[in-house]
Amino acid sequence: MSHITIAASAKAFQQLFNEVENNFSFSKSDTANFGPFSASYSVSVHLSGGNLQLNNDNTIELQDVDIVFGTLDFKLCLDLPGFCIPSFCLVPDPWNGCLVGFPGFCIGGPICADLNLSGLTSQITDLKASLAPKYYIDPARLPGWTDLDAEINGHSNQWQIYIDPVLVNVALIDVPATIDNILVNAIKNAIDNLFPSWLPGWAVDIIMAFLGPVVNLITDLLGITTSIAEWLSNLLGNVFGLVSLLETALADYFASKYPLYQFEDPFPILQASGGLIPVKIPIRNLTATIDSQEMIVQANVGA
Amino acid sequence: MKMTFDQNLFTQIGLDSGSLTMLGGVTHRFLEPGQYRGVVYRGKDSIGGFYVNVDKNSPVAQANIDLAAFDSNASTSATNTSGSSCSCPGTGSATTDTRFELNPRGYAVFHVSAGAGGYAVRVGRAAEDPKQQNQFDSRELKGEDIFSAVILRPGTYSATNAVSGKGKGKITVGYPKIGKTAYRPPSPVKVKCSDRGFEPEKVEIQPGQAVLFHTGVPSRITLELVKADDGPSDRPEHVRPGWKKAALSEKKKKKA
Repeated sequence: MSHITIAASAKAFQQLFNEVENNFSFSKSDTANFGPFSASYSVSVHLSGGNLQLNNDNTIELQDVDIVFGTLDFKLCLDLPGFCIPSFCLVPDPWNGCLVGFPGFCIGGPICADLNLSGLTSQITDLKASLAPKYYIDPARLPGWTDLDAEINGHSNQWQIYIDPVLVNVALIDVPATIDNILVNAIKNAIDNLFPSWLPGWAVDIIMAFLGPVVNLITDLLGITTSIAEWLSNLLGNVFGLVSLLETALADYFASKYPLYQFEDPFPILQASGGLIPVKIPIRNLTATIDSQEMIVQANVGA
Repeated sequence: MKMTFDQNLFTQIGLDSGSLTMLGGVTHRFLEPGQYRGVVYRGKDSIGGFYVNVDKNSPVAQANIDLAAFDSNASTSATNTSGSSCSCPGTGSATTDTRFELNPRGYAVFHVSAGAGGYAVRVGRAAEDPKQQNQFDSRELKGEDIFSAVILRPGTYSATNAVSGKGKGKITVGYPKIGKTAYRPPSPVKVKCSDRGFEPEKVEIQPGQAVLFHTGVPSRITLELVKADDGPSDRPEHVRPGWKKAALSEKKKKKA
């Protein structure tokens, strides 16, 4: 039988968990070349909301937690080497062929569009975990220190209780359909900015007519067979691997970065007073379990 | 991203068969075999010459003669379509020794590949008889000559024949629309120049579509913009954002 038993109700556990959730942050940037285009991104995310459930099988389950992309800067560069608006007939021949073609407009090199997609969200659809107590020895604690020295210097050893995930599922980024217009307009602007200032408006319109609908130009060049929104979600989530990076980061964070609860060892039961040193008891064999009602932490008093 | 295109395509509005630019070309047939000599003019100045050998045994059906190749200010080429019988260099300026070969049933096409243009060409028999020395002059087209005019700028144009002075044509060039597919100009439209003027008198075309003037009577065709079409009034204005100094916030301004 354990010497010490502490219980935290489901409500108290939720509050402890909120602390952990609110402290999560993740940032990442990457760039890659995919042949006809290159892309880069820079993201930072935080967590928000969700449903926490305590189970009788000694697990907790977390669902529908929003992963909010507080920053999501996406840059798309279309590589258009030697892309030419096809020439048209300048001097037709008498046989309905063409003797002299229009010189055409040639476009080469990359055209880049910057998209600010901050505010997009993904979700932790499912996270299942058990509790894992760990004993933390402060590396800054000097070998000759007593427990009292360590406490005075702020480097006490700690018992820490972590949420130890056994599975984490993150959904693809929810990119709204409106991204089609945003991307098309960004590309249009990028093309428009290339026209020399002397070029009259009607000439711009002719060139844009030759280019055709920019949305077609984009989908052809990027090889998009679905919607732009789906393509972008897949590019970020699967091709760049943001989804699996997030899953790994979440699992790592919950399991080892921010404990659900921690306390020092030996644990002070009487503070120092009247010239006496504090009374502290060593905690040993700590366990943490869960049922549908509460978290139960049990331990023995060691020697 | 680089865009390369000739500014003249968009700044030269209006055409003149006697002063060829990038958007205009002239087609002529040399029906009788023999040696011909041509002279290229920019305005009134002679800027170069060439020879055309019209030979029944020649397989060349058409010779593309780039008048800009004779202009030291332009760097282009003058070649036969076959590319085989022209003695001029592949690129760069043509010389007075430039030679073309053509079958009597073929066509010589005089065009301008780059630059401001303003060229005319005169071709005659390489003979001593002055009567034979002026067989073709682009400033006065006749017979089976064809003037090809491509108009990019939307609007309404008047067409006149400066030689016959008969008739007046009207060409309306529509404003481009971004459709479901990339725009390509429709096939050329034919206009006949006769004693009665232009047939048809009114033509409606799209930007970049060619109008072929078949000159049955002596002609110098000029096209002049009468009324420009700048598109719908709500079309977005083409303004480059450029660089702008970031505005200071009110607090920073006060501190300064």
